[in-house]
Amino acid sequence: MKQIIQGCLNGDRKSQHAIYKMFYGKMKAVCLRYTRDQDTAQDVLQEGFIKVFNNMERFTGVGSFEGWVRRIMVNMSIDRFRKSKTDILMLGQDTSSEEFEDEIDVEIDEYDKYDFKPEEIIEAMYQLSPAYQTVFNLYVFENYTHMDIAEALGISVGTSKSNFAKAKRNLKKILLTHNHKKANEQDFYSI
Amino acid sequence: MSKIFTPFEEKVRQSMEGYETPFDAKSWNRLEKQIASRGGSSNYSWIVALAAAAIFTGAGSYLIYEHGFKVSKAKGGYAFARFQNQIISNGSNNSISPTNENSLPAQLLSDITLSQNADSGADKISGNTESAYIPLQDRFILQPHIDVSEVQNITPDQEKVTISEENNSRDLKFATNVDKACVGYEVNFNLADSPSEGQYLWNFGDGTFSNKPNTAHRYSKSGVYDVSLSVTSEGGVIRTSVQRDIIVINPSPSADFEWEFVNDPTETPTVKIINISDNANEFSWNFGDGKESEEISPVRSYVDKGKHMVALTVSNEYGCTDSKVKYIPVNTEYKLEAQSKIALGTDIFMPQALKSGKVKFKMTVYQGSTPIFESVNKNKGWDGTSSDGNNVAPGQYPWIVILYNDRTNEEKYFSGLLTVIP
Repeated sequence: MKQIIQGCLNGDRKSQHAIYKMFYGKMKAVCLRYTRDQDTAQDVLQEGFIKVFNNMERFTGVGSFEGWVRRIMVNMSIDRFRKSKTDILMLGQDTSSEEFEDEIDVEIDEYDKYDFKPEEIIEAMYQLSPAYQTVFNLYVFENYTHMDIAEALGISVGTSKSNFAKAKRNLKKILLTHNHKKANEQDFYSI
Repeated sequence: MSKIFTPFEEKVRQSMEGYETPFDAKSWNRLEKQIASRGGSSNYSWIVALAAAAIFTGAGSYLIYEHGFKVSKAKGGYAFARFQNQIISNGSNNSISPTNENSLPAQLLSDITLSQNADSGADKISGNTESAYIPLQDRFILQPHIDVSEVQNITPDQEKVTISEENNSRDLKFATNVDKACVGYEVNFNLADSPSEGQYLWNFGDGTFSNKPNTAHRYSKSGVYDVSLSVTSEGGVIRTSVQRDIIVINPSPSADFEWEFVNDPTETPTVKIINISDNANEFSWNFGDGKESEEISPVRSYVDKGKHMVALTVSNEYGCTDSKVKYIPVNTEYKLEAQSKIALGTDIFMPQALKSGKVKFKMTVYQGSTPIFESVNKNKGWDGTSSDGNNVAPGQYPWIVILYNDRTNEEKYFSGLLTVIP
């Protein structure tokens, strides 16, 4: 691995190819979670790898190389989100008000009965608003705290928390519905 | 420090663990091309050096460029840095002074390629969409996704704007008090220097104008706005300064609600409040009686006649808020219509409202402070006997009725004194 990294530092195409091949699948999975379709994920991935190759000398050797590559991919995704924030507004994709309708609650121990496939989760995440999707990703997969998320995305801690709660609720709903299980729908007005 | 995940979060984490997509060999070919097109490492280092100089050099020195720049706007508002009115030829010291260092992340600069155009000899920063020549003093965009091949597609002279030496707008600087605001919020526009004599004309970019030197504006639509200022001096010289994307206006929610009475005529007036707010994702209700709610559409019941305040504050994910206060008129006072006396052996004590309604209640009659009768059934009133089946002594007996409202999860207490006569 050290040799490959050294090769990349020297601009050796073969070493770059080796790194690319080694991390392609895992990093593509990361990018898929943050985008809304395959093509965009692929774009982010390619840009991310270019950044990896161009900034190789910044890898200090502390921590895993994979972790470092992954952080670059995540940061690319965060940058993308930050920059697209205003565009999202203008397209009026804020569907927040309709996302409250009903809630599905599953008893804590019942998750064992479900089997979520990775593709299903990714697919479900495409249905979240970009803000919810990004916050959920950072919290659950990247281990960010709400404070970290707020700082990274330029939002408030409160917004991060509420977006996360709603993202989770929506995701639960999508995934559980997908799993064809009849869950308890809370009907507030029936006595 | 590790976080504790809820079962659902843990389930999602586990489900995604180890997931990889299959390798796509063709994508490497594309990447290889992309790497090649961005030039060798020497080019890259040069740009990093320029970027470093740009960031760390003070505002006193400026970048020289004698040619028009081809600057392109990236699709989807990709990152760019703005340079306002600060590009001047001084012939000796090469650096860039950004208006805001935060807008120039180093990693972005590392993505920039400058290419030489053989036809015009102009240095270019080129991108893939909406290419146009823009005067440097107005805007300078740095952006990734450079594809040299696309440079050829642009006719260099078509929209070329040359920087005018006479351009004297560089000292016409202005700023907003905020860089983000919500629809309907006031944004202040202020000159960097104290206003000079002349006629001011602000164009807020949304079809509205102002001619005060320092001014304020409320936008009515969300978006990113360009704002320009023109000053016509008494001598008739017009100076203009444009600041593109100077302000981001986020959409504001709008708070509103309606209500309907949903109670049975015999129940306490019960109001279902229907939230009809737009673009909001957080709701906060204040009922003026110390009670609050964060539900979307709460239900309330009222005992007293009168106008009851309901205040709703909503906010959206951009922190924009709106409020609405309305008063719900309650025209009827809810009364139990309990008898004040019963005669032993002939009368049954059961408040009229409970008898005719379908409310959930608990009625308790006391002797002193000891409960002697309890009922949750409207057909089971008190006949004046104590728990041992004997008639109580004539006198006064306090009672308490608790009404349960399933919709509001509220309990309402009523009490009175019943006189038992022989």
